[in-house]
Amino acid sequence: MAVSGIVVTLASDPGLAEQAMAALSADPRLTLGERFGLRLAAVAETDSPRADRDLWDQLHAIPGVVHVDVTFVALDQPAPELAREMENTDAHA
Amino acid sequence: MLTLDRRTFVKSAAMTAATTAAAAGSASALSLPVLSQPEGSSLKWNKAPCRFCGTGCHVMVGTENGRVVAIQGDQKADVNKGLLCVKGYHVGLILYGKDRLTTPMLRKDGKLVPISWDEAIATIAKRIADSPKTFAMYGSGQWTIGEGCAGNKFMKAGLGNNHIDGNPRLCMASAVTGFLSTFGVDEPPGVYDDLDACDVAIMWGNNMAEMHPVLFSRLIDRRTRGEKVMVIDMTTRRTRTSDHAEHVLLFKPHGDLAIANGIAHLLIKNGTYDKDFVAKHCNFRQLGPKPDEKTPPDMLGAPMTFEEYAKAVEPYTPEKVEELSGIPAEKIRLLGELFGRRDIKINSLWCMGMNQHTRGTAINCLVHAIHLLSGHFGKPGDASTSLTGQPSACGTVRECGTLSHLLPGGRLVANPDHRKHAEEFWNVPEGRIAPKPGYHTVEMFKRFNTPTDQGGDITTLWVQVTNPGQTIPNLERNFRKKKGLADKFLIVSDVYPTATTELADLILPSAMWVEKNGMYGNSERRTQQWFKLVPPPGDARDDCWQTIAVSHKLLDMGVEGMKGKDGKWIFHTTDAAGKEVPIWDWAHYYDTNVDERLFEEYRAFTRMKHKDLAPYQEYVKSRGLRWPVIQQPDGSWKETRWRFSEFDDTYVAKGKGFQFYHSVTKDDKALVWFRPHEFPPEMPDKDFPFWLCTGRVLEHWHTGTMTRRVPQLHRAMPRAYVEMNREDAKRLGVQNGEVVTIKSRRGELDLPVWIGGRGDPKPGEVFVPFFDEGKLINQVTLDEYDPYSKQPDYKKCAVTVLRKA
Repeated sequence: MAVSGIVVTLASDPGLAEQAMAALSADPRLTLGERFGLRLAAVAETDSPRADRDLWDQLHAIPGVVHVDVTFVALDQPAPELAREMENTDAHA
Repeated sequence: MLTLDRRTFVKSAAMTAATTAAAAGSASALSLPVLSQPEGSSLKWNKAPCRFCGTGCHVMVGTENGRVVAIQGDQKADVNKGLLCVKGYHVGLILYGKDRLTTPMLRKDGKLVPISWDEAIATIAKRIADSPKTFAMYGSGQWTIGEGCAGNKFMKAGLGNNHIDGNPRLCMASAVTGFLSTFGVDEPPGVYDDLDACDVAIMWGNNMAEMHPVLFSRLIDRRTRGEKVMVIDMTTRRTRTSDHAEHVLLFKPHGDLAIANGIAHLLIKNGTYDKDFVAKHCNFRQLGPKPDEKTPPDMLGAPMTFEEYAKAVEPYTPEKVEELSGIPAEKIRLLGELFGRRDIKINSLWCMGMNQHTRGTAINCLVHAIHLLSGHFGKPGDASTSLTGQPSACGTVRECGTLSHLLPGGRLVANPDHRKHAEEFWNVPEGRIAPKPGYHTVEMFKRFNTPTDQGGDITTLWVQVTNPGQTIPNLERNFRKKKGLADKFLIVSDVYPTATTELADLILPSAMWVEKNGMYGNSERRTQQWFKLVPPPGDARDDCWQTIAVSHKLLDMGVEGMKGKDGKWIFHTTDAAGKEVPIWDWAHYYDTNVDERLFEEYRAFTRMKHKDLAPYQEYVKSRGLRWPVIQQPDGSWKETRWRFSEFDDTYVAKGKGFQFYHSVTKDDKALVWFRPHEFPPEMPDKDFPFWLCTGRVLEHWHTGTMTRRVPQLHRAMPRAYVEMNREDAKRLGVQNGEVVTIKSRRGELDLPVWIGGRGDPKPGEVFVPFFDEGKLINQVTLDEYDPYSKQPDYKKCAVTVLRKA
């Protein structure tokens, strides 16, 4: 399980920002927090670091999401499938 | 895996951190989150600067049962205000790669075998004692201040040997010579606050979005608050920074020299230079005699009048600059007009693009020159600012002076007065410090890789906290030749196996980051401190202790240089009661704070060049302080943001407005240099028709030895590649992902092609990142360097691209 605190920066166009908010609200991996103007606090929970990375890419692809900053990350052990994958490369995790 | 209770807590902490950062970003009050820690939890939070780049972000490190278990951006930190980049928020995982080095190993009969620390220390001491003058030490901007201070003192004040250099020679040396030539003292006059106040940010060959993402985010984030900030990306290839720029100016290699002169030309031609600022605060300078074998490089140059300067830049018309740089003349006019305006603030920013340049000193001087000429200097938002690649390139290497020609506090080994100061502060006999600079990095490695009977007069080399086996240019010639030289001995202190340990004769396992006490100094003159939070694995030990232990062994062996003028050991340390603490013995190393002892000794050096530091304990309380740090009448300590500006710098005399109090010309004025456009030493031709540029990527820090061991980062960027322009690929019939050979006059390397990837080179150029130890691009690069800074140029050489049969 990977848990991250994130800040999503929304587009200044109100229509796009609302569209992004709708998409983010519908994502079960996210718990949305307080919004301060164009900046939205949220917590992301995923099953593995790999899924965490995928979520990161998917958030960036949502229309109306300008930027995603990560403010917190819990460092858990890599999921077994990723650990195995790393074993099979010349990287050394 | 996280348990439910723990997960609830971690989620709460994550939301608090995110909420505080979001609130801070919207200009609400900034406050430290109060984490709702469950009863009975042993999780502890402590501050530390991030281990990676020179930005100097602070992280909060969560530890539990002797392990780092959580990281969050530090809301109290001015630099990053709670934010971190993708590397920063994974920084804790760099400690836990499965192949951490945990025991000393000595090569015996060709094989590395575990040995005791006693044997390791004795082996090093014997090599040094047998031939002290052919011993060299090579460190980096990852050395903590304590480690740098210990190494420098050991070498220069102990062994009387100046062969100590660091890898900032490979990344920052031209920025140093630029600052020294212009202002008479190193390091940027401005600070990161300029990012918050500028109207125009100009990237001079600087992919800030990937290399300094938190600072770039700080700049770009202003747009989300409705502020206007124009980004001009001057670059040789499109990058993620280009995506945020209003103007992307793709220039030919070395075209930056012409562009800067073109701006100066327009400021003078249009009469828009700041006449009052120039008259009061600037002198003009041109190159002195051209350096050659008989004439050493002279950074003082020769005086010139304003009229002579105007004549020198006269040929750099927009049309001529277009011809030399490839930038359209109307864009040169745009730059000239912007610099000519008084109603806007301009912040120029650069990193390796301007520094890794065979005319690196020249382009650094020229960018300062246009800021001075136009008066875009010394006010919030108006600054010429170099950024650093390593966490303490400034704090340790530049300020403590761990380069072969430097002494601490901006002093020079060649200056008799400076040597005398250093001998007094270090309490060693007069004459102990040798007057001749030692070998700079490239020369040091050339000598180490040359047979001893053929002039290779470096025979033992101790490398700490860096990976020259991957970063030295022209690796075959300058690093790997050592393999066939039986009398050469390579010692490497590191945390993981690397391309450098591969050829090591002795490997020492080191503690890293929060496994030891430390201090760093970032790009904006901010000195930072942290405490040891978790134990190192196995028998790994601090680099600083390693140096101190070797020094004490040499003392035991009767090496006179290890004694000060009072007859005591040069690292003699006492407790509060005056009793000696045996810091050479690892069991007692942490009985006292060695970092504090070394820092307080070093602090005495910092006044001469007005780089004043506060006492160690002030840094314990803060998230760093920017020097000069001045004690106030009430006993508090005030940092300085804008140097040389009366409104903020205590050292500027009242009524002066600006005062360059280390002026090269001794009249409180800065120097506006004229340096001509020159072509690079190696250019594409019929046989090698492409330019090769090398560099970094967002996910990996430099040679990847730490970040490639973080699964998330490795997965995101697993392999090196070669970026090619789509038209070039089409012309050669190369497909995306196809493996090609990149070949230069020095070496070759096979790499998969990436077309339309993260970066996009111009036609005729290719780009290769250097993070991948399996794909050593520095086998291909050129080892030509700037004659003043001695910094090599990794950004341009000629290669060919060959399809595999």
